[in-house]
Amino acid sequence: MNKIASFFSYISNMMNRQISLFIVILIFLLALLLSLSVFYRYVLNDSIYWSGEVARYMLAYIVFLGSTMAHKHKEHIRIDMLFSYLSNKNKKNVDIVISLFFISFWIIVLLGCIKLFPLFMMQTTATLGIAYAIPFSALPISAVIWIFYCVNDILTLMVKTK
Amino acid sequence: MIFLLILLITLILFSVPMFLSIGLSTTAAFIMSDLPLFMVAQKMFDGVNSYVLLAVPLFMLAGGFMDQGGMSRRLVALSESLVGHFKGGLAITSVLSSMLFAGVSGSAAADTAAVGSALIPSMKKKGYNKDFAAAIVAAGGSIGVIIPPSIPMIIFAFIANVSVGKMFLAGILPGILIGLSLISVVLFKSRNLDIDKEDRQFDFEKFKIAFKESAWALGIPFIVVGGILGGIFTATESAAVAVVYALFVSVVIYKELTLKKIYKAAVSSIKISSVILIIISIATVFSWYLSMNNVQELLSSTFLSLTDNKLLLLLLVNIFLLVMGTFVETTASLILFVPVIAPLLASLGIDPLTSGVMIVTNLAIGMLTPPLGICLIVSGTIAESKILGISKAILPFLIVMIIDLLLITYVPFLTTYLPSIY
Repeated sequence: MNKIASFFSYISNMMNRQISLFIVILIFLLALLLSLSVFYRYVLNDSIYWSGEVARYMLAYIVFLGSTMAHKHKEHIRIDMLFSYLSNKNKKNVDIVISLFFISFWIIVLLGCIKLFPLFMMQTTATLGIAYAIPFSALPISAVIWIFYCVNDILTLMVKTK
Repeated sequence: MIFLLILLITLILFSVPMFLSIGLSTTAAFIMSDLPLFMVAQKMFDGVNSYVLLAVPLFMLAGGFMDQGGMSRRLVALSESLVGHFKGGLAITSVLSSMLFAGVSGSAAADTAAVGSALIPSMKKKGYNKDFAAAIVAAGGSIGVIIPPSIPMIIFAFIANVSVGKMFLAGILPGILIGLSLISVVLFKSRNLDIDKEDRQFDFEKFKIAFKESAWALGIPFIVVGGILGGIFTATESAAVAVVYALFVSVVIYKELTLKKIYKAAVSSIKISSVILIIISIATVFSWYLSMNNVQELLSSTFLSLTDNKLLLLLLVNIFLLVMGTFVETTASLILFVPVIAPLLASLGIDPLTSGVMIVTNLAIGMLTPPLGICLIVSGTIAESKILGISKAILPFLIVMIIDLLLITYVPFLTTYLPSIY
């Protein structure tokens, strides 16, 4: 049990570092792209016609992957007025139940994505004409990462109980 | 329907994260109505597939760079050189720097933290009561959501489908009004306080130096507001330009940002904005479900059945928002209540810009109301004061802000004049 838990947390920490690096690069590219599109319009009298669409898809990756990062650092907003009155043991139990809730929610989302995927492989985006599945993948990829992190949370909590 | 709301509130109270509480309630709603569950995934993606919302992480990032890169410190120094010589000078400085800082960042909690960590320690040293210090910093910080750029204004514009640029302009006069009214409370209260005993004069040389130092930081509001006003770029593009500008000033001019600091600021602003945006993503699904079932219409007709007097109805809406703003987190309140309140106010012939600023001001007051007010918690933590103490100290500021809110509600000139000349 201990070994599995430490293996999971090793992998999830490593994943989180890679994801952070990826999104930080993404958000800089985003700022650069939008600034360049202003520059092109006013200085070069030209336009980057695809900038709006690409920027929106970059946002999807930033939001959904970023939310896994925020989960890893326990930064999602929760109201812990009642929670703070619980004993340590009950806190742990509540946290395990919440992690199970998270897993079930993301499994529902993931199943939905799998159902939609064949359709979105056929559909293409408005300006670029790439498969809509490419931007949409931000959601299922993040769902898988969320599920992995939540399993890791449960394992860590259970090891702590012993 | 009642069942859904009870489920949602129960989950929130039992410390289930806001995002998951809305997600589970939405899923339950879809199952009960026999709607296909893959629509949850589809609509979640659609919820953030938006050009307007792009401005949220970008303004957050620009704010992070300005704080880490020494811009906020220079703005505080500039305000102090301007008003520091008055009695209660440091408290006035905190309001003024919050107003300046509000012009460069999008979030009230960030403004409170930046100004508070710079000023609360020196206020305590000069004999200010720590509760008073925490209260004035929190009250000043809440202006951050009213003076542009402002994240809640972007979210309102997104939901109510109005222009972000106009929304930003509408916030300027109300923001200045609130700032000035907070300053007058400080002047009134510090008459009898035992602070700032030494007699100081306005020092023009000091002001000149501080102005020179901070001129680069002051460029941001001009770029953002001027750029949108002049039609040079959209609000989203202005956020991107602000990021590039802030990075340039902090690295090249001030030389205060290292690669490590840049990375840290980026990671933390991405985390904060994705926490907000994932709530928007799932709340869009919830809101879609509610509108499918005409819940919003039902709620607004309930409001209308109470009274059809316009002034009274506005008061009722304000009271409702004030109570809700105290308990529900800002983003979630916007997504849940704007679809109800915006059409209701529009049907009364109220300009959407006025209702937008009114709703956001309500939320700003919510950030100051104990026990959950975020600005109060942030500044209280910095000042190391107890929640009971600040709750008392914040009271006069709260009263003044409620008076300001009523002015904003009943004097549309404040919110519609600037957008109308644009």
